[in-house]
Amino acid sequence: MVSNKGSTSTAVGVAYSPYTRTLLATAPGLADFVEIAFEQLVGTPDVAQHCRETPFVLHCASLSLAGNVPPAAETVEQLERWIAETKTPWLGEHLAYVRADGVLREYAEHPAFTAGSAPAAPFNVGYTVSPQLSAAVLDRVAAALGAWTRRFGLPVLLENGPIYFTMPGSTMSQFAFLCELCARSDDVLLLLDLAHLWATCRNTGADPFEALYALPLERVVEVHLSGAREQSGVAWDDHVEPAPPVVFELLERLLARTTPRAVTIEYNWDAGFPLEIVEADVGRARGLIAAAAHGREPTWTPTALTLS
Amino acid sequence: MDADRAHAFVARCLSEPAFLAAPRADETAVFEGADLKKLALFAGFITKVKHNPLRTVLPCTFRLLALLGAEIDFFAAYAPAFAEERAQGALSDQRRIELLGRQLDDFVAERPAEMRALLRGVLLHESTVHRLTTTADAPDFGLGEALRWRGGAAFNRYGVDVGRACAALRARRFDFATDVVLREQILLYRRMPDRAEVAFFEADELTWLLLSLVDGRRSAHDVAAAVAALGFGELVPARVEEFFADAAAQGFITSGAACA
Repeated sequence: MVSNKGSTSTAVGVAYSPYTRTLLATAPGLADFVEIAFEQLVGTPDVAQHCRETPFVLHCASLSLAGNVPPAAETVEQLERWIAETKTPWLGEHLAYVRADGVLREYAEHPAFTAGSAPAAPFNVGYTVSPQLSAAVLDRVAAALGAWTRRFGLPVLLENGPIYFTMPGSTMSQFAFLCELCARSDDVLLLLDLAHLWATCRNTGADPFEALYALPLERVVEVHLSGAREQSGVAWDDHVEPAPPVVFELLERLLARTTPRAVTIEYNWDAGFPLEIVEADVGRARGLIAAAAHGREPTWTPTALTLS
Repeated sequence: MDADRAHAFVARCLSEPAFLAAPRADETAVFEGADLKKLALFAGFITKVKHNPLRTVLPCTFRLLALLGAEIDFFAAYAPAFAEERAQGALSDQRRIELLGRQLDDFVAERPAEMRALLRGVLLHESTVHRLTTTADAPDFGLGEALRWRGGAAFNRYGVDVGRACAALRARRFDFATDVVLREQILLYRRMPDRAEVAFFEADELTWLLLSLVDGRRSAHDVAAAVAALGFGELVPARVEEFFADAAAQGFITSGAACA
């Protein structure tokens, strides 16, 4: 079982982008691993060959954990194949849904827009959407996490998604939701995206540092760093820009309290992203990790990190 | 509202933004508790992310929209049309650029003239480079003395110094105060045969006039006659032929005789 316990070192990796091959060639040893999206591998399987000298961590946006439409059997079989192929130590997936049951189409219908629609066709957003934060969805996510963990035989980390609007019917904050989920089972492990955390706090009026400290940080196995910025009155996730200072400050605070297994720099929405910024921010993350390790007594018995 | 109902409602708003944008006289209970404006912005955000592959083709256009703080509003306005097009099937990069161009025309219509010229100019510049990069060479049928382009070529007229703006945007040091210069600019784009790189340079009116008459039918002598008829009497045929001989020496114009 992967967990934070026993971890005394943190690997630093990069999310796959078309520039990654060049980056790994020009800066060997820069990244300890490459995080790659399952959906990318399905579309362009050759990219796995581009980085085969570096360990992989697999990320996913297809399980729709919080939704009521499970992924197609073919998708799950493909995912299992890529889990085996990449030898990923865990699978990251979002606290989100992607598809919603079209049987409920009548609840959202407008007569002008339903003509010709198949009544049972599910809605497919094609993007992860933070779900209703309620007891019912908590039950669903807990059950789904357990089921997928058993099916895949490896930990499925739950990633906090960014909240851009309040989902109707929500009764708790995302942080309360995650705390309750972790309280229910020792097996729940987290992928904490610090840009998502910051954006969620900006959009819901919460303090990001208080939110960070409220979470069970010992469950955080992987951390994501990316850009984030405000536009049109909303704070947005933005993998086109480097992480702002507040995201690195959140990382520093987190590292003072716990030792995640991995930190992933996600600058993967622009194939022309400046490589010097990727290199600088990997170095910055490594610097914070080293400083935290120097200043903190190990809490648990050290064990080696294995990413392949 | 139970979770499945809420998820279905939001999923429909995001997957069919036209549904979200439709004016409603009767707000029904299903909308209670939903922030429709933020949902529309989120639909725009998703549409923006789905255009990430175009960032290598239109880096300056995207950067400019971001610097203007207009990306989300732009893509929110575009989301219904994009979803409708996308529902018909996969879209090529060229088609996506055409649709973006149309949307940009609408988006900038109410903006100051300076911003209109800049946004339209930067998109036109980048889309021209992309088109030439991805378009195959025209077959050379060798029509006697007729002047013909080799590889690919295009001209654009701008109301702003697009070259300067794009250079600053590419270098990530764009400054609205110094890098937006309103002036007439003609850019000539050319791609050599069997090459992917597109070069562009600023051309004066006369150069533009001469090169715009290269159509695979006229010879250098015909072009000289045409410009003389347009009132450029000082351009004697010998000078025109010299001009095209020089263009041929640079490799982007050819003809069976005049440029031999």
